[in-house]
Amino acid sequence: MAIVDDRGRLFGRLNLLDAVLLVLLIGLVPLGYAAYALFREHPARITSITPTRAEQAPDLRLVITGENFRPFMRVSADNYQAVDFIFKSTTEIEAPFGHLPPGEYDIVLYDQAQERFRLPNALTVVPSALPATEIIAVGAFGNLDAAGAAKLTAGLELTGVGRVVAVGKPMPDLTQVFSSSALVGVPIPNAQRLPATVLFRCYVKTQQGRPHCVVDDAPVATPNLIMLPTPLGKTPFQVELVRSSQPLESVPIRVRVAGNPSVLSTIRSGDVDLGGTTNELAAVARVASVTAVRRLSESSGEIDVDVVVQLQRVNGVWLYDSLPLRAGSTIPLRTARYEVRGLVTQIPPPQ
Amino acid sequence: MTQAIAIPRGHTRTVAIMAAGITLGFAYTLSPLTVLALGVVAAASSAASRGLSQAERRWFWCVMSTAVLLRLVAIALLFLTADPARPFASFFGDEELYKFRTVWVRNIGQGIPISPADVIYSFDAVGNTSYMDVLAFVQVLVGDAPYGLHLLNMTLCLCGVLALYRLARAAYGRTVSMAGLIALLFLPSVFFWSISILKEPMNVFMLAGELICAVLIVRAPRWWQKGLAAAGVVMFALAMESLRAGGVLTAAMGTVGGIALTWTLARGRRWMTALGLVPATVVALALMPAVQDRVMANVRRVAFYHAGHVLTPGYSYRLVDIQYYSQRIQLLNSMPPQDAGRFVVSALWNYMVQPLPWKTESWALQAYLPELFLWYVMALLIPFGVLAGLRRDRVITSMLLCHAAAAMVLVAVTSGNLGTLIRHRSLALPYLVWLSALGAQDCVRRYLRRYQGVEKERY
Repeated sequence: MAIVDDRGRLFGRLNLLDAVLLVLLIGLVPLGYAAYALFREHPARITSITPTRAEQAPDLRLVITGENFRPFMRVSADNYQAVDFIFKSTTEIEAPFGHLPPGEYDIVLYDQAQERFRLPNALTVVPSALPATEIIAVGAFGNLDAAGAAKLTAGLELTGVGRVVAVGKPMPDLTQVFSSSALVGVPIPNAQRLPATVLFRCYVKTQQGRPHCVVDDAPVATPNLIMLPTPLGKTPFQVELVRSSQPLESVPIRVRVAGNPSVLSTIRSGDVDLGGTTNELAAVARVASVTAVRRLSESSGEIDVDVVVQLQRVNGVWLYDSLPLRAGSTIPLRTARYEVRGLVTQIPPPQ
Repeated sequence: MTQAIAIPRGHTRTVAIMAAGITLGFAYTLSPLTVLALGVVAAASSAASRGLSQAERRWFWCVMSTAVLLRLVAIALLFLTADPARPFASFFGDEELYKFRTVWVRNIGQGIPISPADVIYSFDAVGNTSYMDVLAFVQVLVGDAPYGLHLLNMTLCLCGVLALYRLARAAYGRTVSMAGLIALLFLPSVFFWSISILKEPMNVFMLAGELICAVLIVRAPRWWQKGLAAAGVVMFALAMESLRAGGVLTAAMGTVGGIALTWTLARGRRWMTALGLVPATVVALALMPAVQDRVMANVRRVAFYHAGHVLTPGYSYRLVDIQYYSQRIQLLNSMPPQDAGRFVVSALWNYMVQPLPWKTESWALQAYLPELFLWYVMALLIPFGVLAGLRRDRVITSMLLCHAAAAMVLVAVTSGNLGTLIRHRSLALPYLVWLSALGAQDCVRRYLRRYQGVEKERY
């Protein structure tokens, strides 16, 4: 029997073209499987993250394990995108986050186009072990023009940061910058600074073991420059003096000052100590009255000075410039003309 | 002894149809845009080959098949050589903007969640054109198509080129049109733009449509057809503007200038009058303070724009004094008229000659040198082509000339980056290539007549 007969049938049974098509179709099966094996999508998924619970911190680094990761993928914690996607292998990546607020987050994996996998409630960020608190800073908003300075008024809410408690008079801008260990005031041309007292709402965080009240990654401390959200946009605020949020009380005290008579004779009633700054809002003491200089020798003498100081009553102790003040303490008196140190001889009890 | 095998006819046809259907379905499943694009290219080529002589048709199909095949190979190589560390490969860095962003826009439209950062980038003002929406919509229809979009753009570009080919063939004959077609299909830079996901292929498609409509305003036999053609010009101009700033200006200057030039050159008396009137009008306008102010303001603005391009990454060229680049705002506020004049002249000159062959610093620019020399030759042939073209077909030559001039001036005064200039020069190439080819033909004809005593040549 002919393999292909005169009617084009294979072994007299099957049409040749039908047979070819059949072979083609059968051949497509392994071809299809090979194509499937080669091209099938390997969906990426997250199996675990470390840590699953973290304290709020400026830099939180998650190690994410899973399957079929690709270098071009991205990760987010809900709507907070990780600042990087460090691809280690197809099963492990690292995702650093900056400033995740406290809360519970889904960890979401994306490719270049869309969301690919979501691990629900995978990460819990808790507030810093040290609680949220408030702190007062006296300083100045810088780099302003007259119109800008007029917009910053007492009572202004600084979204997410705090509130302006008081403002002073605008003056030419002068920013303190570090030069080695010393601070140098550099003028900013055609700009004004506005003295202000700001109540900061901050988290106490430890940085290298030292607790700080931190706002927007910057500790509230002298002479730090913190960018604050104001109606003018991000506005620099340089800290000149920091104190706790307890209220200030004007307390009359008597101070005995010893020293050179020529220096002592320059102390006059009405003198104001600006806490070593030039900021009018940083006033910590005002001389109410001065006795005559008593000469102890040719080059030394003493006077009694009645001073009204700004004190805070904390745990049964007076605090002056954040340090305890009691009879026998010494306090500085600093003005544009002199700087002396006196011994507290009379102070009302804090109770 | 051989014996013919009798295969039942009905059976064979069924089998063939089934095989074709299976193959087509398989191909469409793998890449819908490939199937659609090749179908459109085949249909457009078939339409463009209508009315060609036997020999010309052979040439045409040979050229088109080679052009399409080379492009398919290039796109296939792009796919096969893609780095697995990246989601897809691209010919040019700028393409990624379109590939990524159009998928994000599509996903946002369809409610598919995307990365928070991508939501922000999706609505970035930089690079925001109607082209994004077109690509996003295409991907709504066919799904993600990081390589299929190359085929879509290839199709758009080839359709535009074929339309221009038919226009040029009717005006200048088969030799010139075939030469222009070959140049537009195989010039290396145009070759790569045509398969890129940049705006150039879409631009070629639109400018071809706009040019044909502009020609029809003059050529259409009935008034309603002229009105329809004018509406077409407006539509294409708006589409070109939404694609790239300056589209309306190119279309307006090209169409109005083309119609005016056609009308002027129709009678000897008209162009003699124009020869005296136009310079006088220009001088009179130049003496008016209001016109001077407006012109200066515009020149300063484009010079400012040019300086911005100079400061972009890559290789650049300068058109004004170096001091302006460090304080760019001076260009906008205080560039004197002398510097402004020098800037305009320098801009036009540099448009034609950049990148200077002895200053090509990168391997990419050096690789471009052969094409640069070809560009120089083409540029030198344009005046001959214009003169010959005005004799052969005044309308189309005027339109090509005015559209090319508009496209060239707009690019010349704003460019400053060499890569961008080379890319944007291709905006004028679809107009100029026919004039260059015609110039070459005219020069050859003159040469043959003068030195070989050939009295009559057929082209």
